[in-house]
Amino acid sequence: MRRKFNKIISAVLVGAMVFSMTACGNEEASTKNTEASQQTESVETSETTAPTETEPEVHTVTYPVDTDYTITYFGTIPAGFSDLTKPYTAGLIERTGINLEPTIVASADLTNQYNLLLTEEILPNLIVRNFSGSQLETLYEDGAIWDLAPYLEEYAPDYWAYLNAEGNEELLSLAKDEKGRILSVGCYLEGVYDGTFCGPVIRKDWLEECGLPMPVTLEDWEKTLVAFKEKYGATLSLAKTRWHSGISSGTDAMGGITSPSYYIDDNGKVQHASIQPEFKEMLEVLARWNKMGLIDQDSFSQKDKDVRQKVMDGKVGISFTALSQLTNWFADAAAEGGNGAEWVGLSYPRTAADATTSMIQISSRAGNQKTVVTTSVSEEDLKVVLAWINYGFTEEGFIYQNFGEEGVAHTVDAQGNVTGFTDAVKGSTLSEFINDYIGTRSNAVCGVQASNLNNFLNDEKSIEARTTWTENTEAERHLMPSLVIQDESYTDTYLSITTYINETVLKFILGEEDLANFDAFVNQANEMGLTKCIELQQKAYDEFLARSK
Amino acid sequence: MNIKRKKRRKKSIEDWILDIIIYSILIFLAFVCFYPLWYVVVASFSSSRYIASQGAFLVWPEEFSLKAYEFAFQDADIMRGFKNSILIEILSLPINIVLTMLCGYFLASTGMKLKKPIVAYIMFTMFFSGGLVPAYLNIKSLGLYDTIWALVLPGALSVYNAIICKTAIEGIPESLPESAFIDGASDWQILWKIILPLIKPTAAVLVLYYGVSHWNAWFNASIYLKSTSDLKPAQLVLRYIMIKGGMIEDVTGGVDAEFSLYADTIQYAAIVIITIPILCVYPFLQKHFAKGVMIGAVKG
Amino acid sequence: MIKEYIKDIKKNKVKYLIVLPVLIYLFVFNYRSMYGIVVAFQDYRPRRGIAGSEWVGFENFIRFFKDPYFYRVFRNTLSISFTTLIFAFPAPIILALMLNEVKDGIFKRCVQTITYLPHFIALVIICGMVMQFTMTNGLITNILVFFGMERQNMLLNKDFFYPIYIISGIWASIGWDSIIYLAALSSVDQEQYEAARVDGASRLKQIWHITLPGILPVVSMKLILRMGHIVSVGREKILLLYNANTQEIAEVISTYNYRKGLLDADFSYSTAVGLFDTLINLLFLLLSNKLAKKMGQSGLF
Repeated sequence: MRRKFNKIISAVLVGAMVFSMTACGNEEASTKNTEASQQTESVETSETTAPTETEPEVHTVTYPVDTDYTITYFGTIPAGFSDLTKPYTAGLIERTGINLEPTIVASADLTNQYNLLLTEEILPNLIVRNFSGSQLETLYEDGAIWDLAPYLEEYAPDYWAYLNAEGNEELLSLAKDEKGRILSVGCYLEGVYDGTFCGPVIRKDWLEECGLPMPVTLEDWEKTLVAFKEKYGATLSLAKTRWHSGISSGTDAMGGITSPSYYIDDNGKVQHASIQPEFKEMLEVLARWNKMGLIDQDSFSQKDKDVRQKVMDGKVGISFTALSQLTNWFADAAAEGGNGAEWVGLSYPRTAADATTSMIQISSRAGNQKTVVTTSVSEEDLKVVLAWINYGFTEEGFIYQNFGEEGVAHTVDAQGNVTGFTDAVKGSTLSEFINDYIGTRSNAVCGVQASNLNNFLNDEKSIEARTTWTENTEAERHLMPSLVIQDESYTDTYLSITTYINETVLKFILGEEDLANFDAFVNQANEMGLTKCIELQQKAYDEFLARSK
Repeated sequence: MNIKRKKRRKKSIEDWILDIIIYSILIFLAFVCFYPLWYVVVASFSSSRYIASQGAFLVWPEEFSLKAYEFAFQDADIMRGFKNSILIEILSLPINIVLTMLCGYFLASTGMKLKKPIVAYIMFTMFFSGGLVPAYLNIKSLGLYDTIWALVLPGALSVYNAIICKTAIEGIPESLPESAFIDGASDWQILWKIILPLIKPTAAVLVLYYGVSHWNAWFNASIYLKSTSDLKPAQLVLRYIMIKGGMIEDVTGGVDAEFSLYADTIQYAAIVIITIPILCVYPFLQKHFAKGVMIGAVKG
Repeated sequence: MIKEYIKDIKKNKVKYLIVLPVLIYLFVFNYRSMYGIVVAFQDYRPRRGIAGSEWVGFENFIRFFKDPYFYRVFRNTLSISFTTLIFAFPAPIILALMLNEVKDGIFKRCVQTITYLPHFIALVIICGMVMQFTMTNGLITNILVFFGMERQNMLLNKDFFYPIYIISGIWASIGWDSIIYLAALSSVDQEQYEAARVDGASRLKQIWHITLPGILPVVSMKLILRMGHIVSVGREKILLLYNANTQEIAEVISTYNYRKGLLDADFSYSTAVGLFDTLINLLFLLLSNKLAKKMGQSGLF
């Protein structure tokens, strides 16, 4: 396995170079395949013709905007919008100079509320939700929303600049649809791994008691788990929802367990994780561990709070968990009557000590929440509405959205850099603070979430854990962007395939199905339409790459 | 006399065994059924950490705290929701009972030539509905949107309950209404003066069914009221608390929601506050199920 | 012909007047929006309304039937529903009969009140308890291990899914469901018991010959109504309790379509699925109604 892995690694390295060059849109990227470069050329021509038509002028928006226009707004976030007197919301209105009339609905009611909203003759100016590509398409077809592409450069220059900045090519092509239209505005993460909030953790105090080193390879993991089981009766235990970023990610299995997923292989091709031979190897390991009793049987059905309970009881040696859970564990261990467990972040398991981690829990820099501008905004008023959208991408707006008002919500050093939050953060629960004083990605629209934000909001130990997870990984390179598939039966087909994969994979792990039948399993998945699904994803991915040029 | 007494003694041994079986099953059942409520109550008085460490088996509140209740009682939404829920009950129940009785009486009566098509017309609504959007547009066009009537009128008649009512009416010996009819009473009088008192236990059940369903309802409120409305019933407020607290998993945000706005204990306290009042209704209605109602009515 | 109807209306004037408010109510709140059913045959878009949306015939139905798992979820729906019917339907009746045998008023009222409590506890909480009790170290698992079961996570085992689903269902609803039977029991003529006692009938015999027949109309009505939503198995509880290993036998129509993410977002598809459910339900209701009438019960209509 190790020899084979090294081969993969070298391939990975070459792939990495190729990818980074294409990703940067570097002109020297001559290694690109011809197809891609042809498409690039055609796009580039249109770009070069653009400046000749209009004078290359630099657009800016000055805030506060001088207007008496009131933006009507519909969405689930930011929660702070439901009360216009909250510090963050009031400040935003004052700074932008644009009035707001928001309707904030509970997220669980969103789908119904949204569908009913669509029956209204006059829609709110802005609607925010996790629009799918086909929903946007439908709205545009029905004449409900604007294609913002022609207006962004002039009316939202900072957003436009952000999309066109170096390193953000992926964001630009996600913003555009396959016809080059921009139907929605997104909210983004500053850093690639800012969306990582979940990963493996281990009890360091036990590790030291047993005199074991930090496990790196799968063999180390097994050794550690055996030692923990013998000495403490503890197992590898995780909530069922954590498998998706779980153990299989670390090896070359690309996280195929319980969340069957696509990834980009070393040749830049779309692949499906669950049918790879590496995935089979991973399943063999897991099946063995399960047989040895190293995996907690409840891991396939339990919730985070059940794991927390077991952690308190000292029944867990290694787990996969989220930062917010980890914070609870730290508190529980330190509390009176707590077991004093020392949890630290652990690298994802590797096939060899010198290998890298192929995949971790990572979310796309482009968030799910998208804002559309409806046609209730006249072409004239687009200027104001886009200025409002633009605010989060300005330097001032970026600081304000992430850290709130200086002195009220955050503190700065002599150079004017944000150093952390004020005591306001201690005055209430964390989510109340976020709602009232700042806007994070999960709580703001149209903007960029700062990498520092998480560092300020989470305690040091969890940030350390996160650093461990994101070190030495190539996940970014393998991450498949979520793309719109232009095929009517795709959703239905893919759902039945994932249903089949999930069921069978669990059988493999539990030993109810012999892994010798893995090939039959792959054939069955392909027969159900997986091959076609991969092709469709590949097509969408090719188009995606072309758009970013 | 002697023979009778002998029989009675023999019976009592059998009685004894039967009673033991029945009592022990019932005690077991009561114990098991009491647990969920007990759990919620205990959890609402405990600290978050304690709930987390004890899992499903809370026996007694430890690290006793009233914080959750302080918070919940300060929550203006909960208190307002309470008021709204009670208002909805007061407005709804009379309409419910009248419509249900009327419908049940018609379903139980015989001899009308048009009965079949009318029954079909009524039953049809039990199975088919136009769906969310048309219902919403209907409420809007009736001018009920964002009013308390939008929570009272839709669902004012449950055909299901009317059928229960019909079955009860059919259980009345036919001689009663007939003799009243001969005495010169109209259908109207028969319905309210004779039938209603006779089906009092079922009427009590219907009051309970309607009352509880109004109390537990949140869906209509979530679509027929504006999100800023002050008319939200308690159950909708509770739902929002549970969503924000992560107890009800949010479909869109899902499991990755990083922070929850409400602590576990507050959610439990809110459940207790909102559930207890409706629980207290039952013992009051219960006495109407007592035996002898029928006989008394027949004799009187 | 028309004359006959006019005569009938005149004769039963009050009865028709009595039902008139009901008919008007149903028209205003149900029939006025009934046109919405047609979206099952459309590619409905709220923005365009029904008039502006495209007609697609049976496409939504075909899409549902064509799914590779259609047969499986349909089969599961029926088998969960019927198993529940067989085991959970009689439970509240038995409870009501037992309560009826209790002479001690306070004890009876206490048991009645307590058994009805779980109905008011949210399903999420009930299911949370069920999950905890059946984990490898849960209360129920421990008890069963004591009686010789192999230690395991019971929810991961296919054999246990139905029992857990049904027993927890009985637990949560037995008291509430028994109320209607208790009400019916209170209408049973007490004089019959007197007479039976004089004749020396045992209590079991009294239950069999007096009590049961007394509530039979209600039982039959409830049973027919129950048949009327035989394919409507709620998704919430199954979603809370199942996992990839039990999916094979636990996934029902509602959960599968929910996972497709379509039921909330795609009105046409969900209406089509709903219409399919309704037709099957209706079929079962009509059949059982007919059967009940054949067996001497009055039926629903």
